[in-house]
Amino acid sequence: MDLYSLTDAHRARFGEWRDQWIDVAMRTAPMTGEERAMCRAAVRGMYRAAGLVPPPDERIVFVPSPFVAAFAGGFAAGWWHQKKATTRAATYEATREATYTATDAATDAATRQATDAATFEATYAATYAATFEATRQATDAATLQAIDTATRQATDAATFAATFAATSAATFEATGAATDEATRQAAYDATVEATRAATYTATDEATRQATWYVVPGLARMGRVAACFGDPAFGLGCAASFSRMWHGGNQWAGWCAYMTFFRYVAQLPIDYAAWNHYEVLCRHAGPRIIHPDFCLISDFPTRLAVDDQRRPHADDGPFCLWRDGSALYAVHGVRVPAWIVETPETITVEAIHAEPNAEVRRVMRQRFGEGRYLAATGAKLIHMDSVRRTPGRPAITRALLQDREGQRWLVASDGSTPRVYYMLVPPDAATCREAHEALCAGLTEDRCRAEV
Amino acid sequence: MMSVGEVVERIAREAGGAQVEPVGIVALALGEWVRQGDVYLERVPDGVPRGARRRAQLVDGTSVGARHVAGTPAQVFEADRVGGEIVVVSAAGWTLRHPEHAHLALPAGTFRVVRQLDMQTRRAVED
Repeated sequence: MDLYSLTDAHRARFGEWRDQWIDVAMRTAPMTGEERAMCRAAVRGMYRAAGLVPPPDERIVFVPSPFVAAFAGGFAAGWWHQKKATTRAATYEATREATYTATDAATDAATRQATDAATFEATYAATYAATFEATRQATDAATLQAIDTATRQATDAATFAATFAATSAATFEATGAATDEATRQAAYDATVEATRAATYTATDEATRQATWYVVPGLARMGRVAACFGDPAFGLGCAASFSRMWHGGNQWAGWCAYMTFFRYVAQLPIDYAAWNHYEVLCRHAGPRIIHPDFCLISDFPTRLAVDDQRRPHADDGPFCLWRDGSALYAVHGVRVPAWIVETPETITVEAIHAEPNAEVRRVMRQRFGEGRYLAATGAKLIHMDSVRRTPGRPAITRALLQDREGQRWLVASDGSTPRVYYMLVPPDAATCREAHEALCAGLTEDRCRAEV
Repeated sequence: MMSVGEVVERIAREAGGAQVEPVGIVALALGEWVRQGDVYLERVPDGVPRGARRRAQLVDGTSVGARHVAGTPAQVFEADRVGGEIVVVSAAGWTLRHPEHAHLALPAGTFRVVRQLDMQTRRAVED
């Protein structure tokens, strides 16, 4: 039975709904006391909805940043594991494999949800990077198995399944039933996709590039971990924080979608379990979910983006939490903090030594294009103008040589406002020769479009 | 004769007017190629050796999460174990998307993915 068809009245509310949840994802005001009380109640409700005993109030802890949540959550998970290990050995192995399988599947689903989320990615990537940085010297192979056990808890998956997953399944069933797939897609585009597009790039997808994040006390985390037992074990658990992670307001994109059907479409679904998840998404940052405790992060105090919603600040971190942890990016490019904080220390040598092409470009721009050309003693070897994309204007390129004899092809890519300086072979005499040297045997006369 | 500064300024001015509207390529002969940023796609014969199926993102970015993504119905395959590059195979027209570059609408066929070389690192360009 088709439970829902999109009406014009509902469609008219897409924008309002999208913007409301973008605001949630981009929030920088701190949690209030009232919100903390609401979140404690929601955590208790979420555990109970999953058939679990909730942790007592003193073990539902509010922390200033996701980094603190990850480290403290990891250390605590390790401590709880070691405390319990002596009493449960006999039955543990027998049930471990089954638990493994169930948790693996559920966690995988949750992770996929996470990668589609709003302001989640950069925090997640930076937390990964920070925890790994703290861990890499400390963890040996012997401790990895125990870390795996201590952090691979079913709690995050179970609570997620009981609140988010169950309700989303019902929503999908109701809205995707019969012939009305188009309705679901339209609502999805207007809520999940729009919210994600507006906030996703604020933290963007990442791999680990050290130093675009700053975590106060990172170098001392080993000593902190030692307070809870084996430091290598604790740090290893921290590095596995993702197994206990829920995104809070950083997963606002999905909540925009779900709540549209709850409040606007008013689908006949039991939202009692979902409500706990929604409260935590609206009123709190990311959290660590563990059988014995729950850690909830506050919102950042600064979250800055440019006019294209890319993470951006050229006068400090684009994202800053109240404990001083911070992330740096310039127009979407993650850059080491010093490039933003002390651009006057950028040198030509540092620019040339930077291995990342985008970071190099940002460094050159902050150094100053004119100053860069003067400092390198650049002279023009060749220039041309090529038109290879149907309906597009020609692109000017230049081949420069600096005073060290190195040659650089200077060009844009045709569809972004960026200008790149690309090192080319010293015997390249024309822009064409220089470009062909960079593209693995492709010749320009076979090019049909460049964007 | 333009000075170095004037040439670079002209390149930057032109780049500032860059157009992001999608570009459609109706046909691409064997050996012909298109470029989207630092990623090149060369049309190659169907049936070239290829590895296992992989996700649709062609390149793993590090500083901006460069997302050159092959849209359906294109399928992306890892490089063959004995060498070569990532291969994109599509039985019908498909679109190469990127959040910052113009999208490229491409015809059916098989394409090898070529990464621009960064001579400073002697590796494919890292972005």
